[in-house]
Amino acid sequence: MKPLFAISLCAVAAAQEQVSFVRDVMPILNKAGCTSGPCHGAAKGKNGFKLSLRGYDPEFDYHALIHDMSGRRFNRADAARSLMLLKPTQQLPHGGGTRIEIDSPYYKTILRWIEQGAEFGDPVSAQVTKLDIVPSEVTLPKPGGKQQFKVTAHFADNATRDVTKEALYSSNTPVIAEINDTGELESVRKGEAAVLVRYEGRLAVVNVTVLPERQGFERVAFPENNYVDKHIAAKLEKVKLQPSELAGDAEFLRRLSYDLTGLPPTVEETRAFLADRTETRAKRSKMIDKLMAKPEFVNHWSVKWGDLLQVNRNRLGDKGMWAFREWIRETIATNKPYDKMVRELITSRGSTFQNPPANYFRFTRDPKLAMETTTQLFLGVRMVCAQCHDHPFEKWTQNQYFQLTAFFGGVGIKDGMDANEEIVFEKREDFEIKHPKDGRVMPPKFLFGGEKLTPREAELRQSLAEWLTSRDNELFAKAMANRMWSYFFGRGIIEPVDDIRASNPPSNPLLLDALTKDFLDHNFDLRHLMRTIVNSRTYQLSFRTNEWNAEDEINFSHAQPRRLSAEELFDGIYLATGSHPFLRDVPKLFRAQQFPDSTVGLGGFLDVFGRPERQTSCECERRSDVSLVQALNLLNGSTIADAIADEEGRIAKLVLGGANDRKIVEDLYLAALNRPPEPREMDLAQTYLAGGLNRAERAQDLLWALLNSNAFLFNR
Amino acid sequence: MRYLRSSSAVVLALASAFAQEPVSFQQHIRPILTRQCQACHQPASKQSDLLLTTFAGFKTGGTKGAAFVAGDPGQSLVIAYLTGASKPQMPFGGRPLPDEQIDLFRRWIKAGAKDDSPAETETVDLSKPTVYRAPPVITALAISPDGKLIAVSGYREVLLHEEGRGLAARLPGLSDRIHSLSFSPDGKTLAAVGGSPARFGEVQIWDVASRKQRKSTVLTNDTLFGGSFSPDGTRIVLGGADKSVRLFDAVTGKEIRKIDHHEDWVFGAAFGIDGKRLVTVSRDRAAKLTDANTGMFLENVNLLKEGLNAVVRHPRKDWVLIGGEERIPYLYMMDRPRAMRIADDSTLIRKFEKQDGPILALAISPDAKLVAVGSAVGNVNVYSAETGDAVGKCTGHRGGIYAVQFHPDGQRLVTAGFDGLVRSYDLSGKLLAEFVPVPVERAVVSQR
Repeated sequence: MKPLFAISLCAVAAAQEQVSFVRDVMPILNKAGCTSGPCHGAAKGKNGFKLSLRGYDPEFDYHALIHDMSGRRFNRADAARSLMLLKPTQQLPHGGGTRIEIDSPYYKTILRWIEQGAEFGDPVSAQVTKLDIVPSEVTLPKPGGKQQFKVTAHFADNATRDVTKEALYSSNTPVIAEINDTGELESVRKGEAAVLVRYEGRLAVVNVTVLPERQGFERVAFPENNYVDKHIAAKLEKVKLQPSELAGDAEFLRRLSYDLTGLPPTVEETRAFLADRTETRAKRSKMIDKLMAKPEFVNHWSVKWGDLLQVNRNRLGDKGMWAFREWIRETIATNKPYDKMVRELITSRGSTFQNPPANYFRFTRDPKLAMETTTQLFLGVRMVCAQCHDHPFEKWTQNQYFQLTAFFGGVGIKDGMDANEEIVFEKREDFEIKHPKDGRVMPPKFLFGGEKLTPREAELRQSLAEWLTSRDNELFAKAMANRMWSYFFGRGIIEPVDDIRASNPPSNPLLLDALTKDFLDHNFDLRHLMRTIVNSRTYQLSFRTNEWNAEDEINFSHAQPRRLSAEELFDGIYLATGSHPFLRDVPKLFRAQQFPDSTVGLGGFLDVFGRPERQTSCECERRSDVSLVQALNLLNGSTIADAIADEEGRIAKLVLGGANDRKIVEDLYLAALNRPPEPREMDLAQTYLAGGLNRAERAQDLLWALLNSNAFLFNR
Repeated sequence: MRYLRSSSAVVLALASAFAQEPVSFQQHIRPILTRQCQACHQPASKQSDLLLTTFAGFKTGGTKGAAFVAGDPGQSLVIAYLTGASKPQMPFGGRPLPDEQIDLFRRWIKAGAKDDSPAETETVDLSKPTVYRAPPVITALAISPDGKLIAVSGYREVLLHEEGRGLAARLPGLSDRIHSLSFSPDGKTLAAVGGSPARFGEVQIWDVASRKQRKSTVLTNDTLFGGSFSPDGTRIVLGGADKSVRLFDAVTGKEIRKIDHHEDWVFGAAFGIDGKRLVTVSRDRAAKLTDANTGMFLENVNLLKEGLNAVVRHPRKDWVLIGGEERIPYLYMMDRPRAMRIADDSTLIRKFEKQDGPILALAISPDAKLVAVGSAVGNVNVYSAETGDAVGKCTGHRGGIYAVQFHPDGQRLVTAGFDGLVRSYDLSGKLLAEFVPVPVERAVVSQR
């Protein structure tokens, strides 16, 4: 933009500081709410006047204010009569109400800007490079405390400015800490929150801790099994949380077994583990290694990867599905380094039958979807908002969206020789990705960092894979470390795990950094990462809470009971009852954790309990909710009823084998709840078994009751 | 029109009101209506058909009845809605007014609900010409058929320049902005169409010889656009921010017909050769063909793509050149050679080069051999009407181009726009002259 009327206005300009649109006016439009989503920032604007959403496109906004309808909104001859001043001050009726007071500083800035010739200003020097927020972290001793922030913007030309008034504030948890328009924080109740501060495309986050009033709180010793516990202990001490006791052996074994293999321990395994007198840590560590060596470990983790990679015959065809499943199983069985696995997916080409990772491009058929899936899966970043406008709560821009998409522009898919076979190839033409606004061809560019790498035109996906899986990529290892953590605790250190952004900070950043570093130090060894997590004392804490930590949901001071997943529940029922399901399409002894996709047993028990169809790469597609239909299915459904009554099942064998009541009760507890009954439970159950003629039916009742208890339905 | 100049007046007014002084509509009630109510109860939205921008509107009330009963607050709707006795409580979706403010309404109604607002007068003093500290944006220009006069829009005035002699007359008027200027075919009448944004629209009819305003018609709540004369000079067609197309008698200035076929602001209008039909273009993307005598909609001339800003008719044929946000000028026949089909574009004669910005101004040369295109960005481009080839480029503009016209001599092109300069070029794009059409007073410095 060239300055206009520099000559005629030099007298005015010399006397006053030059007002620039980008540096001075734009922040006012954002702060006054003009560019907000419900107002002129709406997709179609408001009443014929449109601005870019939250001011992400200052050139567009300048054009709208100055050039639209031959300069309708400003008035060079009589600046105070500019429509853009008359409206927000309500001198003329304004649907958005009074946004700016006459003669206020904002009013005067806009007025002076118009008087000086309404210049755009230099967007390069006006670029905000950094926001300084004081204080940068807040701990308030109790609810009702207040804290005023001061925000300083640093510009590309090294200028700084106090923008406390113009910055935009939001709290991610207003029920814990509220923040007002002028940057004053007030704590509401104990807990943790993050305050997001935005100013002209930059954002910064301040973590807020509101301490509870805890009289009589005493810290207890928290022995460290490994570095995980060190970081957890530090955080718990800071927020005055007392960790739970170490879980007992039975509680630990059941949790570990489900988490590593997707199955409960057998009756024999439980008995042996409880009888083992080895020192607890060593004993548990040994069990961890033992479980990780089981074939069920491979089954269980291929369910998780099958979800994320959308292994599903509707997308991949029968043969493609089985081939992709086999590749995943091999990847897990050989403990393929995570970076290698991802590189194989991203750079895959050729037949989807011969080279199974090429199926990655069968479910991400469009370059934009391939890019969105790749960033969400492997970086935990959701780019989808940036397709239409710069991301409102993140630094990602619309340009970046298409620059990153450009890496996938050349992916072509054509039919192969066999029915349903497809070939992934590099397109030689029509591979350019264009910006939707002006049709500009977008050159491939990494999302961040990548200073040491340059995209190679002929090998775009190889270049992308190198950048993505590079040790310097600050998010790649971190996203996986966080995701892995969530599999063992029911929530990530950043949650949701695939929505990593500045405005969604980790609950324990030091812990996440340490896990990330360890993962890198061990060359992306996923099993090492798991082993570290489950060996920690933190993982081995009881789900039973104490006076101080009952309400904790984010600091991992106790185990969080999680409903068993559809497959875990299904397999758990058949293991407990000693029965087998009858399903078409799969071999007779297949467990649910071996089913290749959701078409097996479609519409049945597994779907009621939230098995995903595998239509997206979002963890959220697998539902872990609890519903009435589920409860009715467990109470009256045929799955449990038939399994309990199986003529070759556990109860039939026990009763026909002449077991006494004590043995029956003990076995059923060990089979269903993976622990021996307590004396009171033993008495009650024995009394019941002895209370009538049909002993087998009474034993069935007992097992039915156990399977319907929370102790069975939850991993806790 | 009045302007509430100071919010501190509200505070003072409220403070004094608490001392049980008489409540004034102008001092106490009106500021509350302005701040709290008129966002929704204004001409543009007019919720429940209630207008709270004037005393008259307040008194008349809306669909629910009169807003107040003088002397009886208990029977007054405004009190019921403000207190929440009637639902939904007002202000809708906002915080209820403080009791003290509702009490002001009660006391004012009880005391007879008198209107003490000053009479509605326009603050523009037509005897004092506008003083310019910088050249204003030029939104319109017109050259008289004999080529001797050029009319240029100013701020609250039209400026007449004589060929070779400079500023000949200043024609002050009510409207802040003049969006369109056109001379009648005989050159005796000048029509200026415009208004003040978000306030009113106006049609000014000037007698060129005497420099006198023959007629001013103020209408609608926002500006008008795109005025143009019928070939016989008896009528003027224009469009408006109220989505309407209106026909005026060029002599009396009386409105003949209002046509409501468009769904968004109408930016341009032109008569066909015989004056019986109209083509109007709008932000609603359509160029609509309408029967000028009956107002009946005939058909859409174009395929709807993006909003349209400008239209100009071929000097001797029923062809129109249109352009807008899509940046591509299209030359269309008004008439369809065969029955219309779905997505039929058979009336398209030619598509020209895509411009660097949205198209804002169009012109066709008197011999119909050339077309000129002005857009929000860059240059005025000249093309051969027959081949579509680029033949000239008029450079030097800073900012958007809002007005383009060929000189009647067929040898020159005149342009104006954002930068406030009028420029004249030869047909190859060589700059011949440029001037600032308004007197700029450089000594005046802002008082603020």
